[in-house]
Amino acid sequence: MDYDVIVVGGGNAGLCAAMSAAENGAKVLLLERSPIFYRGGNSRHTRDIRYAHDKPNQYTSGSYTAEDFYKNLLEVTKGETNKELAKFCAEKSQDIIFWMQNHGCKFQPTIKGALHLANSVAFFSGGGKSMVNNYYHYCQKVGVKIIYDAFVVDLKFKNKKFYSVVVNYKHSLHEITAKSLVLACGGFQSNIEQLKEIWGDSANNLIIRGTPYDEGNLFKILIENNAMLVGDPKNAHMLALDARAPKFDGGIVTRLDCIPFGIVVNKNAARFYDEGEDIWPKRYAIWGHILINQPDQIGYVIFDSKVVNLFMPSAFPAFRADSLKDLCAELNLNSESLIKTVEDYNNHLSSGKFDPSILDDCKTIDLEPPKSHWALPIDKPPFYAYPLRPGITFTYLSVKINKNSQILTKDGEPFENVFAAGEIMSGNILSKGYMAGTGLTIGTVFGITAGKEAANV
Amino acid sequence: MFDKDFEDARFSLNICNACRYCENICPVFKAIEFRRTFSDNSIIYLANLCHDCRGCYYACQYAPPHTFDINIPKIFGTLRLETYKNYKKSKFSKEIIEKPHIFSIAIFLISFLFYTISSIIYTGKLSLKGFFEQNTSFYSVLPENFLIITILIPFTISLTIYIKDLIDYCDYIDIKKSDFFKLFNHISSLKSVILLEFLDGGSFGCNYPDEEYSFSRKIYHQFVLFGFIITFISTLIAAFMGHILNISPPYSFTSLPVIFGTIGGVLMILGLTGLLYLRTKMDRIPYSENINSMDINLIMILLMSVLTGFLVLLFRSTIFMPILFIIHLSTVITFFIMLPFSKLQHAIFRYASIYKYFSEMNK
Repeated sequence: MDYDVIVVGGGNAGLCAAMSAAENGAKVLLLERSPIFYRGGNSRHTRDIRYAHDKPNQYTSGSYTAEDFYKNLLEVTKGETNKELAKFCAEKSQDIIFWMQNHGCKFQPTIKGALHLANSVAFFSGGGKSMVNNYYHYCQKVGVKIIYDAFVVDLKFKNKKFYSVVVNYKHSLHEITAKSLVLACGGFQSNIEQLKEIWGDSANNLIIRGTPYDEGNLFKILIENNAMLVGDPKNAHMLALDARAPKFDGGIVTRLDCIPFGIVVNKNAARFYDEGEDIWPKRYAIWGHILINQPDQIGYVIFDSKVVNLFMPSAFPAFRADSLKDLCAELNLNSESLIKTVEDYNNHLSSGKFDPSILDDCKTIDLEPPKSHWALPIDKPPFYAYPLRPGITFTYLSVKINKNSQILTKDGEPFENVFAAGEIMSGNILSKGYMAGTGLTIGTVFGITAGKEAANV
Repeated sequence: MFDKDFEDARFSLNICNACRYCENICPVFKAIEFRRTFSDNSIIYLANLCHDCRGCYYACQYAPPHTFDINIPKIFGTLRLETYKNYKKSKFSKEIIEKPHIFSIAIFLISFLFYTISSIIYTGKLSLKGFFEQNTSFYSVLPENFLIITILIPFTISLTIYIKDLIDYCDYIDIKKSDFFKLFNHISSLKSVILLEFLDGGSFGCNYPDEEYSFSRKIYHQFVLFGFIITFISTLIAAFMGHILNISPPYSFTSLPVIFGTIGGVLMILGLTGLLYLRTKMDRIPYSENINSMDINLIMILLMSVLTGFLVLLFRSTIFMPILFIIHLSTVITFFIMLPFSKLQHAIFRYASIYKYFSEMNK
């Protein structure tokens, strides 16, 4: 055997697995598909991690118990979660902050008022890429062998046991054997062909927020080898992005937080969904699903100068014009239709008191679709617009695992020496919906577990 | 060129303001969050608030080769160079900033010739060594009042330009005249300079010379800063002893000016060689190469001033004293004349920016 443990994927989950395996005495090889700059998969775009803690500490204000965490998981997934694993994840999350700190991760002190999350998540100083950098340093310190640009193209099994990986490295194939394997290679959201199988041609207009390397090829190989799946392929973390975002790797800065303050129209200048349904952090992750079902997968959020400073700035400047007609010219929208849509909307408003910090009573009356909160008239020039496209962060369809992070076969038995951590198994817990910082919690808890179990095979 | 730099910076800062992952790393990002748009003036303010700790570059998911190509330390370095040039109205002064080595060497040679010829005329001897007795006073090489005048004139002119640049800069970054005398903000700013608190990547150390966290640059910089202050104190004590107490130099090895000068000088040599050493290992991607010669120039002038000072001290009772004394004098004159054109401008612009930052924070 060349190694004790091979970890495929060098994002948060893979790094946790590699460090954990190495600390349990294993000789570890970490295969990262990307070049060194893009290392870390989607983790390089993250910012915070959710974790349970009974008492407030220097990184998080207030208490957030493992029960709270578990309850929230049941809420967002509407109960469609593996309760045993969800409970395990919530409970184990209590220990991870110290584990992370001991492995080089640096946190920032509590931030005031940010994202309404200060109770439940801790923020990395410098964000996810810093965390990833620190973990890579730690991996080197504990002797993990790291190879970049290493694309794993095949997995070989002997007698239902994992035997070796086949790696495409610098245009030649290499077979590497190991006692056990940890797959932490992400979802399949970067594979447009695979997305098309789910959404049809609409998938062509999806923007992939993160790494271009999550193509799910090992996922396919696992399926061929009888792995059990969990989740609905259509479920994924999807939101509305600035349509000018790069196709891959645009990360956090192309998201738009202005939707609750305006109206959203499609390419026919018609509204199609309640923009003020709930507070934004609870709703922003449904807009990707809504947009992908609109014609040409495009939308436009329209607002006026009253609200222009009420939301977080984003990467690209808004389109701006002194009249709705001029704005339509810039957006290539039919101006008569848009003016009618806006008039319709303006004529159906209640006279509530606008308050962006609560679910206010500023709403539409007898309008379809309604806008339930923060419905101010759009009448004060200049007018603004952002073009919207659906963006995908990661897919939820996963391989089923047990509490040891072992991947299960269709007959319910685990592969003895094949483990999974991170996005590739996150659907065991997060089958739908999302809560900030949970992806990394799952990656960390199951990364540590998988690494330890893999080292002890 | 200048406009394009502002455009690049504006694009980058809009990305930063949409991301905000770096808000813990340094005050630049907290100052960014106060703003939604970025005027040229506020970009210059932010560029000079930046201490070049490079934490943001290594933390950045959009750093090159990403298509957004965000490299804040580099673009801010370029803009700082523009700041250093901006208050120099004449083309000639800008030329000095762009080619500091040529001008420093020229100034050094001119002042060396000037003092040599003056000394020859004064002493009536053609050679600068060998004709002097040991343990002679510096004033036997050149007369005291002549020295005072020829040092004070360039020093005063330079200091005037230096201070005027500071006032113009405060005006440019919009520190109101009435706001400039808030004692509390000055205390905070001074504390920040003394501890160099903003060169620590949010308490973990900066990523210099490479990705690893380290406090080495902070420590070396403070060696230089405190060494400089201590040698300055030494000069003040010497002036007091010479002109008020009428005790003529040279002072003994156990006298206050020599003790202070030695401690300060040693600190400066340690700090300056440390900084030079780190530069040989530094990652050059987050660096604006345009500012390279200015950086090296200041380090070299300071290093030469200290080293020649030590040579004078060591050999002052030998026949080499006059030549070494004139070399040291010329180095110090070069430092004075170059002051408003040198990298030492960062001291005033940085201080004003830190002051503005605390003014914004404490509003």
